[in-house]
Amino acid sequence: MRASTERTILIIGAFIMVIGMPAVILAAIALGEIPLDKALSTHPLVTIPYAFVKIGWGLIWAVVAVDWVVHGSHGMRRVLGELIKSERGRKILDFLINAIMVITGIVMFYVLVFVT
Amino acid sequence: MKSLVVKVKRFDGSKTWWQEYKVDISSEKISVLDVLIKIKEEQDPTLAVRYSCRMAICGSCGMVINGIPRLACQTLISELGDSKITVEPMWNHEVVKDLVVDLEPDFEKVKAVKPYILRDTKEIYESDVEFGQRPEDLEKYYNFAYCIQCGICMAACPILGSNPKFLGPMALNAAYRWSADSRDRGWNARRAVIDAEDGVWPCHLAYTCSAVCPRGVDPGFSIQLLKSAILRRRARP
Amino acid sequence: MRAGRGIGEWFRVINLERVLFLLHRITGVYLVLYIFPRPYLILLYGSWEEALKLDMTPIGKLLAAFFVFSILLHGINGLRIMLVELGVIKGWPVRDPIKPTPALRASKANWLMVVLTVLGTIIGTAIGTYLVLYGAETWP
Repeated sequence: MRASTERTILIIGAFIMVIGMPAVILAAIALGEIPLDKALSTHPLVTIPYAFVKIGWGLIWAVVAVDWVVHGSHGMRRVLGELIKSERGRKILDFLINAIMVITGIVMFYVLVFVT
Repeated sequence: MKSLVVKVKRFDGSKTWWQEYKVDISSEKISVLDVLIKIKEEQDPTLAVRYSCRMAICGSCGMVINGIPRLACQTLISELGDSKITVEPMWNHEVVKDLVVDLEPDFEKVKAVKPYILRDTKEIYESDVEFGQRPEDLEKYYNFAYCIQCGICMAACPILGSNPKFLGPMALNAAYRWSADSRDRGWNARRAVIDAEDGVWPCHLAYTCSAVCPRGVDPGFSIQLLKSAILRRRARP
Repeated sequence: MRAGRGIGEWFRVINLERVLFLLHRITGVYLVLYIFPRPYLILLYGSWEEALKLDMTPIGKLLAAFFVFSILLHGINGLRIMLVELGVIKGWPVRDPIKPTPALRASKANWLMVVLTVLGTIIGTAIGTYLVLYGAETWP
């Protein structure tokens, strides 16, 4: 994959999160699914994404979460790639990162949609 | 008479150490290079320093002065505001001796981006038409053409610290300067070099290169212009 | 002998953008290390409630507070980086023989994003940390 294509994926992933996360949260509040007073008095990790799973929006949040996994994997690949100089090392790194990304993405989707 | 304490990081090929020199100066309106030459002439002729023009045009005397990469000829004692001066060789470079570093890798990277007009030779030799350039076309790259290839931006870049294969601000600035030139037709050839894992993408906008550039070239911004041209699939930057 | 600190160059402070670069890297790595194990923990515990109990311990709350800081700084600064790389934040270097100004230093839009990053992170972290420490630990 060309380096600019990888960068484009990273940027699109980042936009989905930066715009998607606030959009989903504001939509849930605006539609009354998550009361604002409850959101502002609850531990953030209970509200996000647990509350979304409880109100049945797990699939919507799963899209953002899987995107998070893709963006995070590419970011780690970038940081670790600077420390690994050899071509063989970078190929091994690519394989490991892709494997972690795919497996974690699937598990993330599963727990957000099927685990209550 | 003002007394200065100059701490220089020495290297003799095998070991490195800090050596202190006490220097008396009659005026603070002299440069760090003047002080180093004074040390060489009066105290320690073995101190290795690279310099040439003494007026910030050749780019030879790049070094780290009081924790910031600068040109020694351009840095006045009065600017530093301290009677203790620390001088060390440019970071991210192999040291040859004392303050002299190997700049060959930097120049190899600049050569890799083809820093010259790339154009069909038929056009040049079989036509009488001049390759004119309007003032607004010149403005697109003029600031970035001020580069004297001193290597200070390469010393300042944090990515080059961990990844010596990164092309670096000096080479990428050259790639932009030549690609943005309206007379050039080599963007596709240069893009193949810079759109690579160690090309333009390791840059993460630390912007120290532009903060320390002694000529105001702003290589950090030329890198972002290159990225934008690649991402937006432009015909030229 | 190679001059400099190698990977330690990331930690050298020279200008503001470099500090943001370092924090962006640290928060990015932290976010990956914090988020990636979570779905596996939920699978291991079999339910969200059991997994969330770990977040309610003192160490869990400390990590959660840093998570709030990380997501805000990484997100807003990341937006700034993306806008610069895509050429949306425009600017041009100011040429001056005595004091030239780099483009992003002269750009009001870039400064606005830097201020948003700093203020947004501070205010958001303050609110988030308050909720982490005193917010309800279960969803009704």
